[in-house]
Amino acid sequence: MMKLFSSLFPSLRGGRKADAAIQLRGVCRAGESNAAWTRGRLDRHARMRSLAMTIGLYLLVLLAAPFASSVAHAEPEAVVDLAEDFIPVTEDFDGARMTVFGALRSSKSDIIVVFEGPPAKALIRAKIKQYGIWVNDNPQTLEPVPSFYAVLSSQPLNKLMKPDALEKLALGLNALSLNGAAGEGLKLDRAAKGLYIELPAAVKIRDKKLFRADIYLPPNVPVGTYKAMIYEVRGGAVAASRETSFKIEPIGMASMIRRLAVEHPILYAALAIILVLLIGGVSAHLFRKAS
Amino acid sequence: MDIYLPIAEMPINVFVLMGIGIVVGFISGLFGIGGGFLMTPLLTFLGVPAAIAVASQANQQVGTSLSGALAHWRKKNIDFQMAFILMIGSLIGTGIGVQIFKWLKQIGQINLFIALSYVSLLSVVGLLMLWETAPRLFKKEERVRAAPRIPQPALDSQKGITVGWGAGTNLAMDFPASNLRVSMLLPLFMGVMAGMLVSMLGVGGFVMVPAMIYILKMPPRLVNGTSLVQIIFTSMAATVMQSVSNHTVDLLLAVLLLSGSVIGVPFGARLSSHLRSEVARFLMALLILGVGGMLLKNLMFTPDTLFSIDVTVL
Repeated sequence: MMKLFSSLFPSLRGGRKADAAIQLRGVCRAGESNAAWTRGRLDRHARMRSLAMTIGLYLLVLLAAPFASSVAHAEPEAVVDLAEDFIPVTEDFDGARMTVFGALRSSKSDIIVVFEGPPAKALIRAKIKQYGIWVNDNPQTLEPVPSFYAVLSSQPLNKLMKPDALEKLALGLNALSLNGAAGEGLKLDRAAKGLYIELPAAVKIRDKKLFRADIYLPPNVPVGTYKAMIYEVRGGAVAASRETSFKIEPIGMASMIRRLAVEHPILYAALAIILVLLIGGVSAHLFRKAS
Repeated sequence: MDIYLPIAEMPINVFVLMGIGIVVGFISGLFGIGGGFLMTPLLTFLGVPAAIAVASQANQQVGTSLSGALAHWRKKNIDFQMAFILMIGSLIGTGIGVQIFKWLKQIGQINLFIALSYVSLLSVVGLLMLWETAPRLFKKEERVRAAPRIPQPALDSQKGITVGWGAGTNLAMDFPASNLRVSMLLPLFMGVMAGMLVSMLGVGGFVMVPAMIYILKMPPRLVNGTSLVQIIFTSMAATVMQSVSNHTVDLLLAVLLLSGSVIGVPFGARLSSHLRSEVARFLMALLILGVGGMLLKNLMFTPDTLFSIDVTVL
């Protein structure tokens, strides 16, 4: 899909990877409304890309149409793609944007998009007051939990499907099977950090044919392989679904430092010591007169 | 300008970090202390996990103490023999401290432990300093750069050297530079304590300096430099052991803090020569109590979130 764009609009494509570490510095921090920046504080570059994406989508629909009609009885897969399949985390990483887009199979459809981060283990300790101070209670472990979870939809979830249907597919924060006080605590904590998100109007449908969902991944987003699940919903049921994935990986200095720290801790410590000795020694020399 | 801390795994503003370094460095220079007791709480207020703040602070302390020790070395204010004995003790202490640290981290009480230790340490030291300086501050005294009041040490009448604890036992050792005879167990034990403090709390000199004056009975002139030499090695050991056992040393954090700190220190040091020693110590006592009070408040007031949560990607 992206290849198609680039061959058609080579000038519009621009630095794809660099783009992911996104244009919208500081416009939207974790927990804020994603809609705010989706609404169009995109810089010129992003605008062009957005245009290219739209044109490409139309082409895609045109190309796909004859194919789709020929196999109409076999329930063709929803046509979807991601804007990026790799998001690099560099030293100056301050969040990134991910876009999912595709074509609707029916003009009456709605779309739900779920982004799920790599599975994680959560150690949850309730804070309790003892002897006048707040201490951590014994931990509870929940495993596996999504390290990141975002549900984007074209309408509020409860308007699209019944609660039990949502629960079956784990769609929405309420449907996540994280029960008890610990589970609720985890949900609150992750939501406050912008890592569990529900955006009931973030999927935009254009001309009843195309959809597009933008999500802002905050700077503290866990790294790993992400799943994007796209559900086309009609009449309270899932008419088609599609799963795709992308990676968020540290690259550059930050990842090198991290790898060194975990794999060769002694070497890492030696490096840390040499660096601070150098700075300390040089400064002592420079500021000799002052002290 | 935000930078992503590789170990703390969080973005943080470079200028804020360097600013903290400059302020803490300035205060260290002004009062002649290491800034650890201030640095760690400030970092936790910024959202850096306490365990990473402590370990990275120990790392950057290698640089600040080297810088300070070099200055004292030029003035020949170091008793290397004493520093060596202290260092042996502190290596043992660091080893013990890092293991306790690891255990506390596992049972999820490391933050509480750090906060509680800081509150008690800061209030005790702060109150003692206040108690010592406040009366003198309001007396009309001649402006002397007075050394702290030291109990008059016992002198060996024959050799004219100070006689410390256990000087008569088999383990007694002479420290010619300090003009002192004391059982080597005492500096060794104090070293162990210092090592535990550096590795678990990231603080060093701020407790060691008074202890070396009042308990070890070293001449105050040599105390700062000697404790700095010992802290260089203790912090180095803490860096290595924290890095191996806990992966909590954030190199980038340490380097940024240190870069700010080395800028701040000379300014503080310059100002300190214009400040009466009682005034300086009085202000420092207030500062210490202030930081302690803030930490205590955090412990006692209802926290923003009622859960403490660790999520690790499998």
